[in-house]
Amino acid sequence: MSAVAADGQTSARALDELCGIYWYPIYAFIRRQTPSPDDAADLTQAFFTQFIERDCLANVAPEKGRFRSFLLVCLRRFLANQHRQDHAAKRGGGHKTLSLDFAFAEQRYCREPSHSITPEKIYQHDWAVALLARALRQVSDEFAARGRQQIFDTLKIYLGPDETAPAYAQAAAALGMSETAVKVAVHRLRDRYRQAIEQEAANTMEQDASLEEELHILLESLAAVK
Amino acid sequence: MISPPQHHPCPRCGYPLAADSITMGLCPRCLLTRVLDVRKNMQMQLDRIRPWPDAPSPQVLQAAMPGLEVLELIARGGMGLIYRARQKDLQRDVALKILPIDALQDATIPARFQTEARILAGLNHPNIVRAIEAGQTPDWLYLVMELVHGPSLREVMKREGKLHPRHALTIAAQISSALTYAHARQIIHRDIKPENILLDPGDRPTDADLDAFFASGGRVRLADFGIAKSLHHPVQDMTLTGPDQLFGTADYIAPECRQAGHAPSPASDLYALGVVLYEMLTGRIPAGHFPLPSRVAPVSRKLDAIILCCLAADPSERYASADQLHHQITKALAHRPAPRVLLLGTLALLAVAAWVVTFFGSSHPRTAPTTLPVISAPSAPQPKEESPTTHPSMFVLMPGDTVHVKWGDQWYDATVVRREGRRVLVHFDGWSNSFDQWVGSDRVKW
Repeated sequence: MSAVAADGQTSARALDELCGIYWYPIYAFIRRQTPSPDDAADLTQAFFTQFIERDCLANVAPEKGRFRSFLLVCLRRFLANQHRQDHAAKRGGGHKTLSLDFAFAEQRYCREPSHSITPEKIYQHDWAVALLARALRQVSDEFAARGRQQIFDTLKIYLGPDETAPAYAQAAAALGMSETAVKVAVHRLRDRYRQAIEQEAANTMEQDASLEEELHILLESLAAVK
Repeated sequence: MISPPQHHPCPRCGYPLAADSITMGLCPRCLLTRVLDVRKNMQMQLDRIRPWPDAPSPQVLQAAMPGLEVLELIARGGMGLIYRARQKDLQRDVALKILPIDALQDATIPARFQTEARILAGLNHPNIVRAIEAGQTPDWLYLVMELVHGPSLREVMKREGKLHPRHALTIAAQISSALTYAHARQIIHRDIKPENILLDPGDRPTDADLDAFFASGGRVRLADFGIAKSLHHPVQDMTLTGPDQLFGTADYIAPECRQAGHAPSPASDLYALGVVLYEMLTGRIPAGHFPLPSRVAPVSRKLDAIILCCLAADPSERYASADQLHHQITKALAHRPAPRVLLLGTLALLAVAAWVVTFFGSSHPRTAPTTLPVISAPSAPQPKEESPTTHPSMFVLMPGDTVHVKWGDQWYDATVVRREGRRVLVHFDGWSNSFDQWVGSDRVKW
């Protein structure tokens, strides 16, 4: 089910799915800004709890933009609010006694020499990895459901570049198939994985956006990490 | 985590891959690159089979063009339909390219078609497909051209995968020769890509492999000047394309041509040819963080330098002309690594000679560079009489040039990889080791 296509009745299920797939980019973004792993975990939990309580998915619509960007905006607002509330609580009241500029603080953090990769880039990168992993898991599950897990496990290496893949003869010997049959199976596996990626990317991108462009954005976010 | 405690670089792209990655040990960057490749291949197949609306039958065309016997539809180009036809008077096969006027969505296409005809008619080069005749009927614009019986480079690459470096260089040399000719006449092709490079076997069989193709005099031909631009008629062409209109095929478009308002130049053709050369050698497009050809194919670092120069983001850092590129390619093509046995024999002789000189003394005592490993033949150090120079030619040093570099009091042969200001990155190629080294330009000479 598409995370962004969910209506009110199915939003809880959609959110479960969403948390299962994309919790890590959220956690990584928060963790980059929070010294303690426990605090980051608590904040991640709190973010998703608030997301459920406020039924934020009801506001999600493909024509409003990329779901990835929407989630990041929500997360930023959540963290900014959380920051204000923390300070207010410490001072024993709901009055705003200090003018905290969270955006400025974030900019300053990003300029720290020890952090060459910004939290946003980490978020984008981890989102792309999660999407690729999700599609991979989906295809793997499909093979398993048809009793062909061994074929997937042997052939998945061919989803990567040719340079690192063994000769087809090797896979053919391992699977007891002809080389031609392996070639055909690899071709189908690549095509199925392409479809899974396209579906996954399409679920979270804005209406009428170019899928090709979205895939290139994902590739760029992966290139940001060295 | 972004930097997992245990990770190793992907052998292809260097991505830091975690041992316990959620992508099942597969590199995410390569996974996505593969998906994009698969999509691209699919698109190409679709483009090939997608029918042109209302493609006229050969009989209908023939009735409108009595001088021709139109035989069959053979291809669908970006700028029209291509038929195989026969000139009745000369009894020779030709390619007939037509553009059905009614089917045109874009009012600029007829003018572009005529531009192509005009440009092709003015070009006569062995590596460019020749135009024979152009005209217009009430329903179609048409262009009669030489018929090339061979496959396109794209088809050859699909069949053979990566090309042998010698074949790739031969193809690139012939295309750079065609570009030298066209650029000298102020014509920029603007759509250099494997689909527009045809392998013409002449009268010989078309299914021969590339060794046989070149051995029997096969020629590479540059086709489809449909979006070519004549620098002789800039004003007229501006009205055809508009200053911000982007032409070409995405992967082969030079970075500067992606910017609005930037006029194409011969350098953009050289960029595209660099992409084609890279693709021939490695089987992939040089997009994003691409590996050097020598990392993924058995080619020399000199070829890396040639390709990197073509792919420079700044057009002023590319070769100054197609002729200069042609010169570098032919030089690389002429380079034949000496047989290993011969090299070993030469090394042994040099070692003996060095021992004799050391043992019996020499009027020119030498000190081996302390930080440089020994560079041996065929790039053996050759003492030179000249001193380092700031010769004017220094300022036109280009990647791929073979130069002499002073190290200690000795001169060594090396290849220029890159130049930055007054520093030059040179590549030393020895028997036992090869490495790059930055040196001051005052230590480099021709």
